Order: sequence, then C-alpha cells, then structure tokens
Amino acid sequence: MVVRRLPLAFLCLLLGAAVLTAQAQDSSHGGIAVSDAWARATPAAARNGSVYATVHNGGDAPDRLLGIESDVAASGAIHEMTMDNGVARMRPVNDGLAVAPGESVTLAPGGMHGMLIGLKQPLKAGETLHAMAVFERAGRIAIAVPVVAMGAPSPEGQTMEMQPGMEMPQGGSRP
Amino acid sequence: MSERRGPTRLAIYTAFAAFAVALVIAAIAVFTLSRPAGIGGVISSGEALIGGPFTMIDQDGAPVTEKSLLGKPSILFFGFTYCPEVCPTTLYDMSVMLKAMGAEAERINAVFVSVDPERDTPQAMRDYLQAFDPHIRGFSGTLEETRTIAKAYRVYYKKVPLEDGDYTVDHTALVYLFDADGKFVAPLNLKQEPEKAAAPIRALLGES
Repeated sequence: MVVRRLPLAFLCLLLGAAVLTAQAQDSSHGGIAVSDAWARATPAAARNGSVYATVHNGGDAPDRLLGIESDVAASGAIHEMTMDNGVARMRPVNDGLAVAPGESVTLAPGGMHGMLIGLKQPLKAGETLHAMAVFERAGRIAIAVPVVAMGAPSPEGQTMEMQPGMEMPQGGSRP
Repeated sequence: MSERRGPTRLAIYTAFAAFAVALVIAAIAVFTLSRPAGIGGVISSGEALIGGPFTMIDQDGAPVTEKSLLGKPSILFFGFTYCPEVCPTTLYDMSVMLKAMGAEAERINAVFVSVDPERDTPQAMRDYLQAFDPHIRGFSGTLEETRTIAKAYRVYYKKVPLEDGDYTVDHTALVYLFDADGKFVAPLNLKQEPEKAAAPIRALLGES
C-alpha cells in the first residue's frame, strides 16, 4: 500500500519543487514581479540594512508591498526617507507601499526602501542575499539581492575609481 | 465679595502668566526651528553664526577641537554610521568630489561628525569610513560633547525609536563649507558634477 503510493508522492514532490524553482527565477506571482533588487553593505555593528528593488504589478488588482525579509535579519519593513529643510528623517511606512495594476514602483535611495531589521550579520559587498518580498495579496516572492559597496548610489553606480586605502567594492558591475 | 474677587483675580493673573510663558516658548520654538532655513540669512549677514568651540575625538582616538580645523578650508557633514540612506549617499558624493579634486583634497579638512554618541565610537567611525575617501575624518564624542558641537553648528538631531527597540536619528543633512579661519561660507551642494561641487572650495583655496 505504502510502497505503491511512493512514486506518486515522489512525483508530487518533484512537481512542487519545479513550481517553486520557476517562481524563484522570475520572482513573479499573481501578476506581481520584483526585479533589480540590490542592497548596500552595512557597517560592522549596524542592526538595519536597506534593500532596493523595482516592483511591477502586471495583474488587475492593487497590491501592497509590506516588507522585504531575509534570513539574515529578524524582520522586514518598508521605510521612507524624507528631506525637509535640510533635515533627514526616516520613518516606517506602516501600511506598506501601494502598487496599482499596470504600474511599477521603484524603491531607491532618497525615498522608499525595504528595511531589514535586526541584522544577524553585516551585509558585505559581493554577497547575494536570499530575501522575500512580502505582498498583501501576492504573498511572498523570493528575490536574490546582490550587496554592493556601502556608498554606492545604485548597483550600476560603482564607477568611481578607488584610491589606495579605499575599500574595493567586490560586487556590482564596476567597469 | 472681596473674598470672591481674590480667586478671580488670581485666575486672570494665572491665565496671563500662562499666556506669557506660551509666547516665550513659541518664540524659542520658532527661533530654533527656523535655524536650518535661516542659513541664507547667515550668508547675507557675512557673520559666522555657524560654528564654535567643541571637543571631540577623531577616528584614531586623537582629541580634536574647533582649532584643529583652522588653517584649511573645511567641509563638515553631520550624520551617524547606522544611517542607511542619506549618510552613505552624501559621503559617497563627497568621496567622488574629493577624488576629482586630486592633490587639492590634501589642502582641506573633510569631516563626518557623529550625532549618535551612543553607538559611534572612534573605532566604529574608523571602520565605517573605510568605505569612503581616505581624506574624510570622523569626529565622535560623548552625549554632552555631541550636544555642544551640534548647537555650535546649528545642527538639529533627534533620536527616534523604531519598531524593535532600535532607533534612528533625524538630523540636519547639509554639508557645510568653512574658510581657513573657521568662518561659515555656504552649504555645499554635492548633488552636481564633482567639478562644480568643488568650485566653492577651490575658490577658497585660490584666496589662501
């Protein structure tokens, strides 16, 4: 009895794995696609790190990005940076980031970012984080997040030539 | 009758006193809060209202004061190492500008001043600054020393709690330019081509 069902169970497992792999590769689910994710390296003892990405809603229902989570951090949230009269402020965006159907929203320095809260280890340039973008409707979407140098304005922005004594960015696309 | 008038008069006096106190508080608030916006006014007055005496420790553990900055033009930026956004971005822009300045970068002071005395030790500052141009020095201090330098430089900073018991710091994120005598010149705009950004500093170097 048990032996006869084993191949079926195995097939189910294989199928499940195939579906999961497909999801991880294109990072899309329910019309929501997450692309161009990246993060900045963090100082040795920092407890938080910011993650950037572009979210596209190809579906026909509005959705909300509630946070970006990873095994390297205790939790994830969406934060917003504002500049007012020369004063920089950062605040949690408690109800997440709305993404209307047919629209794309980019998390970038100087505005919204995914916040990895309670880092268990510093984010190092060159490594790639396994993270989950968490949506209200679409659920959890697996994303790969390359970590770039601490000050890099974008993953492509690491074009600055380093001087002796400066830390070399190990990741990114420095020409 | 006269017994009743007592409390009534007292109430009027109290109300008046409360109003006067409120006025004073409002005046102080307006004065304090308008400071970051008031930088334009400072330029036109020609007086260095930004800057003053301070004692801090640099990233190598050496004591520094306002006198340590004299003799060279200085650029100062206040922030903290846990700052995930504006600080790394600004220090990166500053690094790009310093690189563009070449040997002239040796003739100025570039300083990152911490407004997070609880977490930013000289060691933390040194580690952090590894990621940026080596000309940039990092000053940190005690709670009191940090209060003093922030007040002297008209920098606003405020600790704000986050979700998990952690905190962030709201802070003035302008880059200040001073001449070799320590007089405030202008805020420096790093959000432009490095050569343009460096022009006001080069103007000061040309004078000296």
